[in-house]
Amino acid sequence: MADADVCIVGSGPGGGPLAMKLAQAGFKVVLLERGRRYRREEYLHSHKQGWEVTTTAMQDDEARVGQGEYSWPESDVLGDEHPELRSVSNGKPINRLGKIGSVSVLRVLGLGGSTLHYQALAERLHPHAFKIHSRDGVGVDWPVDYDTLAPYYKEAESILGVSGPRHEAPLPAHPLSYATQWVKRASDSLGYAMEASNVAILSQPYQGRGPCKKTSGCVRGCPSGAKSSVDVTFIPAAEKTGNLRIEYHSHVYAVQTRPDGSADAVLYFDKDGKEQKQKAAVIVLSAGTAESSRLLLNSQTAQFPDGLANSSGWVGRGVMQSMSVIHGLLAEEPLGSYRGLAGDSILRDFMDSDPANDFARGYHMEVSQAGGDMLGPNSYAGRLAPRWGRKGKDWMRSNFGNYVGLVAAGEQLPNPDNRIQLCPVVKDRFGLPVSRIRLRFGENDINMMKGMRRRMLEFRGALPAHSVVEEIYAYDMAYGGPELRGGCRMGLDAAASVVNSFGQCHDVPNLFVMDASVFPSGGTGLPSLTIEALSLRAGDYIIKESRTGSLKAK
Amino acid sequence: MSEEEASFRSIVPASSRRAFLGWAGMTAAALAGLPGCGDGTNGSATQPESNADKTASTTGLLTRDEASLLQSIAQVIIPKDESPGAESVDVLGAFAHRAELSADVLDLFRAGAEHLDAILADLYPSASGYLSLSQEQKEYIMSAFLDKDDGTILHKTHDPDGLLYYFFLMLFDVTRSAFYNSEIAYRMLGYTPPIEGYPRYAEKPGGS
Repeated sequence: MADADVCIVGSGPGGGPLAMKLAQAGFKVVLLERGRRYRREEYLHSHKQGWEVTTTAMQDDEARVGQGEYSWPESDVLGDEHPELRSVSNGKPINRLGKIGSVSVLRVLGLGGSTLHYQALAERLHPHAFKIHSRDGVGVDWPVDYDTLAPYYKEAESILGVSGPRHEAPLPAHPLSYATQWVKRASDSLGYAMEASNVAILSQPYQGRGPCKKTSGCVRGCPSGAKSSVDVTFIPAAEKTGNLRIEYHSHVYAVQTRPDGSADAVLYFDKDGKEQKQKAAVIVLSAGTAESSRLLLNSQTAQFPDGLANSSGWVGRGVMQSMSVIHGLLAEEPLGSYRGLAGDSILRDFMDSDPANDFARGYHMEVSQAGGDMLGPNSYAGRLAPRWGRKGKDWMRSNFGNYVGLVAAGEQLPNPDNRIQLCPVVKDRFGLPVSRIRLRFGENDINMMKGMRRRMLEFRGALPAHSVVEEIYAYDMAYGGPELRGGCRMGLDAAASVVNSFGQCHDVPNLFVMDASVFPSGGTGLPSLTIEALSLRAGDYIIKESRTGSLKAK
Repeated sequence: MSEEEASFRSIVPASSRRAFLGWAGMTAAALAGLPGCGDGTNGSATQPESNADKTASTTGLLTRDEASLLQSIAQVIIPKDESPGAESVDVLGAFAHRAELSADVLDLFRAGAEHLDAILADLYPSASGYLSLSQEQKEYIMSAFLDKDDGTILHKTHDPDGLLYYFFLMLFDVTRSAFYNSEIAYRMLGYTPPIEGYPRYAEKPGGS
């Protein structure tokens, strides 16, 4: 392959903005993407009869390749000491063995990465989330603060066309759905401030794209193009420059170094399974939390026996997930909850530490219209209705469209023992070790989940007549999804972190990591907007530093 | 081997294991709210057509007797009442599509059907197979082996391996996918698929 100025591995919220920034500055950028490019016409879910069982683009075999490429060691036993944290559906335990059965790492391989299937919450981190050690005495502080990142949040929001009430978003907020209004009235009665969330979904036409049609299937890909995934925002802007080359179906497995210890090339298998090498002056890993650590660890050599950029020993450590608590409610009145955004609201009242709690840090709450993929009749019949007979049909007639998901997502504290390692047993189709993910909960995490549960009960007490059909807790449904963070934490201290605040590896100046793996702590909400802001900031840094020559080996 | 896998291997015949693992995995994923799995079909079932009994779709797959058994069970799962039931949708087509995706589905169907025959010979010796049962008897069988927590102990005495449970569970999944993705079900529920979107989504349902 022809040499490039910059080679970026992965085209999600980390790689996309960086590709745009650098291409616009005149850098020749090569983007290695493991999947393919999807056209929005391929997202069939809202355009065909029987849409719930029609294969959409992101569900095809090609997209699924690699989704199972991770393993997890034996997990904690839930046991009897936290019976209230046991997940149930229709009154029956979901996790029969009482263990954290598996860690679900949901990935879609394709241009745009996790933004293809995110629900597009575009909330900034709480300013205090950057300083959790200074303020709360837990975890570590970020090496960058909110005020420093704010201009980049703004830039990202402008490119995405964020809609919402906060931070002078470029587009007005989406009106709350009828089902969300049903919850908001209860929230108001409790004195809480539920409002529309900032979302990367267009409420009005914006830069050639049309507004959202409110079909709530955001997590299956947006057929209207209103959801601002990276493939319809940052990437087209990069392509306009003529400086971006995208290599699809590229399965990256290592970074090759020079004798002086600098990064030299990215090694990958192409679509035909042939080994390829992409040389570049600067290399950026934006493959996502489950993969970026793996690539560094898999790049071990005699010079770097513990993996590349790992003199601190922190590569793979400090992995965190979004700690979710979901209560599925069934209203005794029609809500038509299959209409709307996947999530259109947010409650920020509990995002910060509160001395009254028995845990540090906090969580946000939202109303999930999709209710954990509860979208159309087939979902209801499969998950909630009696399975057979007239009673099943009667149930559907009475309850379809009445489901609302109350969701709380909390901040898991970083723990060095929660980590990604190379799996000694499971290999991918090229014979390379997959990521082995260990995720356990500490006392603070468990107390927070119990606190989230208590808040759910408070809300349920204030809601109109309803029944509870599901309770799902992260404790026994370990659920990383695209929301895993950590593994290549950023920090000022090279002995206790992998990269600096720009994602630049302390050990290898021309090697960067830019995705959620650089998060030193989790924050709340989806990480995408913060990744994009960090990526844009890293882009400015690379542009500046490449002129001074500081990206060369020490 | 994990505890779960060991437990699974001890109770489910080898011919059905892979099929069951598929179903179990889909269910878990759906409960976790994962896109692509939320419908319990792994995101790839058939595009149902109206009118059942498309025997051509099962040519080379099910015998006529097997097709009749499948349709009869489907009509217990979603019966006709004041509105049409499974008899009005292409359950055979939905099954055929599943079988195309995984041969394990056919293995599970045949193993389950054989086991069902043996059980019925014991429970109803004067009957000549499932099709000859009354509607009440068919419902009793479904209750005993699919809703096994709900009263009878037949599942313990006659289906200790759980084979029949997974057989009926698979047929439930096929049937509801065929039915609840059909225009017939949409009409029954007053549901408008989101083909054009929901511009009046903020209002009380019924107007959009």
